[in-house]
Amino acid sequence: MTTYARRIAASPARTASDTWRAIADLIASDDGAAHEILVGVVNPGALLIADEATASSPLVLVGAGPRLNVYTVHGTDAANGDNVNEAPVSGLDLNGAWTLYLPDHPTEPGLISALVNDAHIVIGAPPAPTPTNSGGASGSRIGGVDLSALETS
Amino acid sequence: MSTVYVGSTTHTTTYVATNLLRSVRLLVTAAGLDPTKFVSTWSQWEDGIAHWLSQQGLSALVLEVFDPNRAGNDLVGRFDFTLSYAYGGDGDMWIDPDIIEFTIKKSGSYPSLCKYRLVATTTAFATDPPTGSWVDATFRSTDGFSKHSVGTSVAGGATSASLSYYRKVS
Repeated sequence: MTTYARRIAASPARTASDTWRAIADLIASDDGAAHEILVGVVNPGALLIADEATASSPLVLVGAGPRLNVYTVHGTDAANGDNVNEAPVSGLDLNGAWTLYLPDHPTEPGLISALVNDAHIVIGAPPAPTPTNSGGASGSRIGGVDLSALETS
Repeated sequence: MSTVYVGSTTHTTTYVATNLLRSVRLLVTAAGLDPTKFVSTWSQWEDGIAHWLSQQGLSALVLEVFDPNRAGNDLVGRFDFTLSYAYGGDGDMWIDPDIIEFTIKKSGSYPSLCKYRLVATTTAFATDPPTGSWVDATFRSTDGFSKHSVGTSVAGGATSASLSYYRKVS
């Protein structure tokens, strides 16, 4: 499985709400229904971003083709555009049973889940990436490290 | 306190808007209140505050805590974030989360049955934000309360927010 990572500039480049909207655009710019679902959870998403939970615990999109880890970048890096990668992700398909995993809030357990009511949005850790190394063409494992989980651009 | 960086006016507006709301959320939680209601309206508040800050039109953000079971004047506490657009800092952007805990230690926390609301006061030249619905509000009476200043909680460039609280005079 291919895993992509994107790093989205947050405060002070964007407000937390605008950062979430940028993430919704990144994931589902071509899919109105999925975009609506994502924008519908802007409030809990913005709280996670404002409290910088997503700086180290990514949003993880699975079931839409490649796995996508979305981090937020804050402070000087966000202002200067350093360590930011907001390039579109090719190959996403949100017509199926996709799921976006959000981290729980680090100090307010249960608050995020109280504000989410859509089966596509799940609070908690995502399942581990599925190794696909039977043919040796991808997902090779060396010393227990799943190389397919490494971030690609 | 976490220092960020000396930034442009746009960056400082964005920074103060987001971190004012972070401060409100910390305050609600530290006061023993349920933050769910506030967080469910986060984006409307953040969009509105960023809009008013860009105009230097936000005067204050006020958190009123009240007892819905009390007849008459039901105010039990109040916290004001008062904006200044002539802050004499060194231009850095920073938030002081510790000031929230200090404030609650001074003001006391509240029974969980208490409710709260957030009210923005704006200058005469401030315009309505392009999104969200806003209605006029009247503050609850602070008769019998005394106001205490704590200090600056958020700053960015020339914009700062100073926190004060009201406590019932015994």
